[in-house]
Amino acid sequence: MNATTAQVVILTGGSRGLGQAIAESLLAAGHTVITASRSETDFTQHAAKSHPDQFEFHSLDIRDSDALHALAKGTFEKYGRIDALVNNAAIAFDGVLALAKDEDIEAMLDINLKASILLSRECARYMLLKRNGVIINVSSIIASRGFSGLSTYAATKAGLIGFTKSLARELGAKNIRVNVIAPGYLETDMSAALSDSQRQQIVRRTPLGRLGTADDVAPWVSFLLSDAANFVTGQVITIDGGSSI
Amino acid sequence: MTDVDVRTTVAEVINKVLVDSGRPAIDLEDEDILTETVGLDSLDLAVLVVGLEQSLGVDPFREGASPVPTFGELCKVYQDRLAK
Repeated sequence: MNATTAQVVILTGGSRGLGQAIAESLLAAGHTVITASRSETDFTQHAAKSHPDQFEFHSLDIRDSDALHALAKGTFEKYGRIDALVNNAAIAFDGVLALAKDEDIEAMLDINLKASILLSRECARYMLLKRNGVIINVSSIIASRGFSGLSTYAATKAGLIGFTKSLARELGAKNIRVNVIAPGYLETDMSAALSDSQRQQIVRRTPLGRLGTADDVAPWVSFLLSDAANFVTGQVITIDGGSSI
Repeated sequence: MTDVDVRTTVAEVINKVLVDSGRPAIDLEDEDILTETVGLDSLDLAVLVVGLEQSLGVDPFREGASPVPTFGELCKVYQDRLAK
């Protein structure tokens, strides 16, 4: 496997925001992208037309274990391999924990953490067969730094880091690498909910003086898929303009 | 698929796991213990189950079957599942 070899990549939440930027970056690098999220967007419709042999969109509920099984199985049967999985789908409900609803807590745990574990299990099976693969979990600097009002979200993103480190140890012997990318605060739909004062506070704490963009983060996925990252596993790559130093 | 066919397939897939990781193929006996006698570790067993799903089209362990220690018992798990 090397940087110029087209890879088959399953990407969750690839219809908008950071996931869209990751999908665009992977397509530009020549990879095949199989993405899944709840509903189509202008981007997924456009990508399916512009890259008919390179892009697939599957509408599914990522909380449905059987659907995740079918996604991995179908991809392997069609392409004969799954080279990489990017667990990117996530939701965030902002608000103090004392007033949080059960359903919102459960949705964050299910979508951000449990679905990532389940889909990793499904894809790891096929990666083990090929003794080759890359799993990238999209966490957040909130996992390590904390942010008032996002405690459950932080728990799910920190959970992904613990999951990554143990899975990297488990699968390393079979040449399967597992890493985390941990973006800082990005200009996406998810950060649109930030108040002006929250936004100003983030920018003030960031040495590079701005919020990140999805395009600051997406190339790291291609890098971690490439040969250049062949000796990197179990790591957290932080892309945050220095805000966490 | 007969029980003999299933047994042959299970033996082939086990030997593929061994050969793919640089170990010699072996003749399998029913009482051989997959870990100690055959030398499969936990990841090898995972590769074996996925390989058998590819060859036989079923994964009884996903459906709730309990792990078994010997080659003969493993064959029986798949024979019973395929007889359903």
